Amino acid sequence: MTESAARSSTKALIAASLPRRYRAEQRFRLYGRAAILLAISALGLLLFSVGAQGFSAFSIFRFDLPLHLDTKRIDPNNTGDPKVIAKAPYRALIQQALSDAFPDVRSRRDKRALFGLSTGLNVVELRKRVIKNPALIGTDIRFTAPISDDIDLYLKGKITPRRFITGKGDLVIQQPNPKIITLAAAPESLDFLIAHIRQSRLQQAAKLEVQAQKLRDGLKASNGQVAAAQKQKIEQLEHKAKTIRNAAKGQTLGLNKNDPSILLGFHGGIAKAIRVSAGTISVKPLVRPTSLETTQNWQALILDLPERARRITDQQAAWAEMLVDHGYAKRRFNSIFFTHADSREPELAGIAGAMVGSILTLLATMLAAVPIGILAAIYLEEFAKKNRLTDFIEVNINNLAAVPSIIFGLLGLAVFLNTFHMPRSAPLVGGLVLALMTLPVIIIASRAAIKAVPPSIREAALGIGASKTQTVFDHVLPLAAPGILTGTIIGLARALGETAPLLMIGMVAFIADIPKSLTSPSTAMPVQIYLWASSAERSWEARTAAAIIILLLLMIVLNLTAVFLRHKLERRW
Amino acid sequence: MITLLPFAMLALTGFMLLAWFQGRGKAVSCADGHTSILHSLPGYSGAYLAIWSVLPAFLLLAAYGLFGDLLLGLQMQQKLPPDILALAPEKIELFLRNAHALAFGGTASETSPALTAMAQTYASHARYNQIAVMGLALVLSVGGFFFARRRISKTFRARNHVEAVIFALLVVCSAIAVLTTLGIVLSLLTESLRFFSQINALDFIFGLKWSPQTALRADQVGQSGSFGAVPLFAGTFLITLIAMIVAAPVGLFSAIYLSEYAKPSTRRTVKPILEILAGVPTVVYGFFALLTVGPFIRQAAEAVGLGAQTQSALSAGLVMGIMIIPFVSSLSDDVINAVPQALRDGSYAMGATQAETVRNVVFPAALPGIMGALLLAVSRAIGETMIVVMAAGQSANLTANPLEPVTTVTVQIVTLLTGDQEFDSAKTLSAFALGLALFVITLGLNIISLRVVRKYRERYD
Repeated sequence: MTESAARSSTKALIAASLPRRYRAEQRFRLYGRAAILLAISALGLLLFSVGAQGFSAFSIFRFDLPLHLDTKRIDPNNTGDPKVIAKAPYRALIQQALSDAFPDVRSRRDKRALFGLSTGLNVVELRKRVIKNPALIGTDIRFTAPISDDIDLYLKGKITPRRFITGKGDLVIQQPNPKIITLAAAPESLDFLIAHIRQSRLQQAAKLEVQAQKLRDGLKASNGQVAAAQKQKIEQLEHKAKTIRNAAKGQTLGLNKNDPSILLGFHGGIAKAIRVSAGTISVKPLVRPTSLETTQNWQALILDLPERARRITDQQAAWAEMLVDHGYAKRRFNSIFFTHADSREPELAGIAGAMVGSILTLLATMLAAVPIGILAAIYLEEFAKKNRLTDFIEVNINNLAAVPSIIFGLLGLAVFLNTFHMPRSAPLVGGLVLALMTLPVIIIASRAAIKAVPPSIREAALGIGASKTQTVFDHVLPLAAPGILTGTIIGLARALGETAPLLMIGMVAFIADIPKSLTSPSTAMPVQIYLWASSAERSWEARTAAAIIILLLLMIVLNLTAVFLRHKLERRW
Repeated sequence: MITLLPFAMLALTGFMLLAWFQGRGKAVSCADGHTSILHSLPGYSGAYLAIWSVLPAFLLLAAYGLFGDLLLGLQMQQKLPPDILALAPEKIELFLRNAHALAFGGTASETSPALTAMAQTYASHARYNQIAVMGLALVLSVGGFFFARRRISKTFRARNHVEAVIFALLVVCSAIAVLTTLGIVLSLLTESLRFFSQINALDFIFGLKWSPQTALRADQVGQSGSFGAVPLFAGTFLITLIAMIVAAPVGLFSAIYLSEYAKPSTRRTVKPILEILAGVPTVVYGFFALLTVGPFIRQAAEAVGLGAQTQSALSAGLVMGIMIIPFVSSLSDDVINAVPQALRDGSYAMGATQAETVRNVVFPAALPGIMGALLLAVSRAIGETMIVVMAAGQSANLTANPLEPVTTVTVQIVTLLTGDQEFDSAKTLSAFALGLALFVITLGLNIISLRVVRKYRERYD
């Protein structure tokens, strides 16, 4: 009786606890799912952010300007002498081509800004082209160098959003003053612009007010003198916000450097708005329009980031727009990125040098690590007797596999560079260092592959009179080859992505040439990525990400090859 | 300077082929074409002859390639003019370096008649050495050829000799792994000892200030470097801690889910995806931390009113945590899979739910192995370089605030050894001391964790 009562009460207890326990079970399962989801989404985010940033670097805006190779300036006496041709003023020729495209640029300052659209290094390419083909002298060619990196970024919309609005109704030129043109347009066509400026000013003021409020909150904590200074600052901020709010109210808005820029395009020219009211708009021409007739064909371009906060001026933006409009600049596949080595100018920098460096380094790694690794694995798996020494070697190899890669760099620096005086920054040394690093990986993979070959193969070979060495090299090794190959490829793929040891042996130098041999100075792809990532200019970001995309693609190809070989060749015993 | 070496190597390769055919031919002619009466296959006789004709000469040339410069340097020290010998040791070294540069087409920092004369001696000795070595190699080669050729006969055990050489080669190759460790230990130790002869070891281990700028000249003031490594270790520890806070739960829970709950098909797809995280180069993580995670953390911190910078311990730690998730998960996965099914079945029989079984039976049983996996992940995080170099900053802050930039041991090694180096200065040498510390710590962690994991495996095998 008591027993059954106890049993039923236990049952009741269990039954009562079940919902809680099942909920716990559900939660536990959820944690597991969440963990996996988190890891996978981290990977997704990583790949997406790299992809999104790198994609734009695969295309680039290049000039397509007519350029006259004036005989008088290059080779006036028609000597055809390469020395004479090399000394010609190519910079001036390029500048002439730019001036021809924008004839109304007069002042020295404007001209310098205009010539800044093409980097000075473009001279080198042009000179090379003419020296290679002297027949071009005296003819018109197309100047196709890449446009300066800031302009390229601007045209890709990376500096500020570019919003084009097609104008409605007539645009009537009222006052064709050369400095400032006053235009009349239907009020509704200008309303949008006015609203936009107002909104931007209100946002600006709101931002200042938030800032002031934050300071005010912090004020309670601080004391005496500090508080006085803080108070003054708060008042300043609030006053400024008030002024801006008031400025947003007026009927006529005068635009300043803190407002978004509004550029009007009409009659093949571009002008910058400096005052807008319902019905009239005053503009300052940046590129002179060809005519001052009334037109229905006009548009406005809004650049939201104020001129003060960005790297390119409205003037440069206007030139860039004109170049694209006239077909003098075109978005093309960025072949430079794949054919050039590193450069100080982002638009002329490429990954080719680093890629060749990586290939040479990997070649050295392969030549050193693969034979040594396989032979060591054969010894340890087939010949070594189980004793203290082989145990020691085994522990050693396992530990080496987990030594931080930078330590191998220190070893390379101390032994290869400082003791044996091998050349700095050379793929040979980098390859050897990476070989030492990959060796344990290859040994471990090869041992596993050799171990997987069944003993019957060995017994059969020994049984028909083969020696131990013959058995291993003629029978076991060929059967283990697929596994060894797979392990080796994976090890090499890892070596391809390794950076730290290469920094130690000086492969971080700026190298503007594609390396030619195992001993010429070079970098490798991951090091190039590191170098570019630490550069300040914005346009390096996309190039860094693009280099990462290429590196990842190479690694994926290597790893897929390994997977493919494993599926294709591996035998199950 | 060793210009003839590649040609010598090429010639040796040619000679090797020739010797192989010769040896093979000799063996066949010994047997009058009936190769079955030979002790070894004719190919082995060929290989034997090839080895004798090439290997000694090859070893000589390789040794000369490695140590030729050292030998030349020693010879030159004895040829120094007496007035130079009287100078200070570093002046002598500079003199020799300049002479070397003059002789072999480098750029010398100065020129003088004595230097020019020395350069000529240098060049002529280099030439003599090279000719001597080449001659010796030729003698060895030809001598070896004729010696070995005489020995080839019907009963000659060529195969045994060749196999002995192959065996020696195998031993040498597997010794390279040991030599690497030895090389690491020796190079780190010698350089560190030189460092500790200049800087007190206790100051290095317990010092709180790290600013490795040393005075170039004795009379300079204000630049006495201080080498207190505590801020570096603190920064390393902070970042590792953050990384483990991310990686340990995520890795463990994914491992548990994958091994206990997931369908085989899910497991087959998810596991390789997680492993991709381990295959992404660390410099890519660094870029991600610098340009995506860092700015995001800064904005988030500013939004809640905290000051933060793009480079911070938090961003480096978070990203490093993502990187080591697969280390934790795949090792723990192995460990959890090794727990015998009988333990689970016992727990289910008692009425436990699956989660209770995992928590109360599988996890405790797998705990030693999981600890081993976590230790391995910690060692990985401590030794990781590129993420912290790019995302953690350079300033040696002693702080526990994860929003501030900190610096780590690996970052300082990179900073000290890239850029202009002063040879033998405490600044350069300190990198090796840091390297030694890093090596010892990671080695300790690895040995412990490997032992724990192995012990654990043996328990259920």
